[in-house]
Amino acid sequence: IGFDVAEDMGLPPRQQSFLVDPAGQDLVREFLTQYYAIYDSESRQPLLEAYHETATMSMAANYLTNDSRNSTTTRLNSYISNSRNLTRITERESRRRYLRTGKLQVVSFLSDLPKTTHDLMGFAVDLLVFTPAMIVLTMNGVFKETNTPNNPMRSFHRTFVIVPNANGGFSIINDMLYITNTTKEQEDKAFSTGTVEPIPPTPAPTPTPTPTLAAGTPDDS
Amino acid sequence: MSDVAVKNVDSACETAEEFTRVFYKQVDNSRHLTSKLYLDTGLLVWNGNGISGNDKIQKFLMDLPASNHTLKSLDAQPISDVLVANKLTYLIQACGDVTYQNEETKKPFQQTFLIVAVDGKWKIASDCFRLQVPYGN
Repeated sequence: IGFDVAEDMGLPPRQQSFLVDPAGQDLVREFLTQYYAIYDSESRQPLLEAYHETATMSMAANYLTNDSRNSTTTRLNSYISNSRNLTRITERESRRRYLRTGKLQVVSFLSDLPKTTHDLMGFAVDLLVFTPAMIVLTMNGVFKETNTPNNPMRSFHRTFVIVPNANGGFSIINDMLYITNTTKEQEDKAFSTGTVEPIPPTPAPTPTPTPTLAAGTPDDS
Repeated sequence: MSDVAVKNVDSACETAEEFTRVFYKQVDNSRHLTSKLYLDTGLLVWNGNGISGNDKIQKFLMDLPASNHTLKSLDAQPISDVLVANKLTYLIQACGDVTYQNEETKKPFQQTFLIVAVDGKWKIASDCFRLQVPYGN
């Protein structure tokens, strides 16, 4: 255990996770483990079961500032061409088009993104809202593109708004994703542990029933 | 999407532009007024440190070094109103660089807000700020 003094002098020390309600810990861990097991697999089609019928999804991508690396592996072409960055996409019509609506459009869009492996142990997860009606969680982390030459690493920030569904499971109703290059520091530390589980396992004060991502039939509208 | 839903998408985007202009101006130039932008019961999660309630958020913000934020990427979506007691609510994602006092380097940051319309004003229900650094153990 070291001291967090090498940098960020004057800033509060960072924490890997925040839980607005500790009771949400198991649910969040289970949900993310299941979601990324599918997301990182050969086919993202089964994610149809993870999204609400009226789900909306958007992605924005951008380069790091003053990044002198300019190689094929640092280029974000496969993301930038679909980026909904509102500072650049200013026409209302385009802004509407870049917002994917309905689970078919959402999963079709996700299926076209590069294949990945996420460093789940390195996720920073913040549970911001945890009520019976709605869950909001935000993730920061790193993934590798697995089918791209040299397997480049990317950094992402993503928010899910999740609602309970009629089958006792949960569905994502809003998904907002940001993708950028990894910093040197992120690359040095990524994938440094073997386990693949988001949020270090610590005992939660109250046990909660384990939800399943894909409870019920594929069409649970 | 219905006409109403389409208009709400347009409005989410335009509100996000206006909101982030106001928010970063306040944080960088008038920090002492920033907590007015939060609900009384608002939540700030700053690099994993959770601070709830408008007064505590103000105190936390005042203890941070002076900052200068540059917005590089912005995205926004409406949240279904049935989830939030029929209050108009938007999800906003703002990304860019921040420079803190006495530091020269620009640090990349990503920030997600849930803002809600209360009595004709936009208020932050939750604000999640993360610097782009490694988070594993």
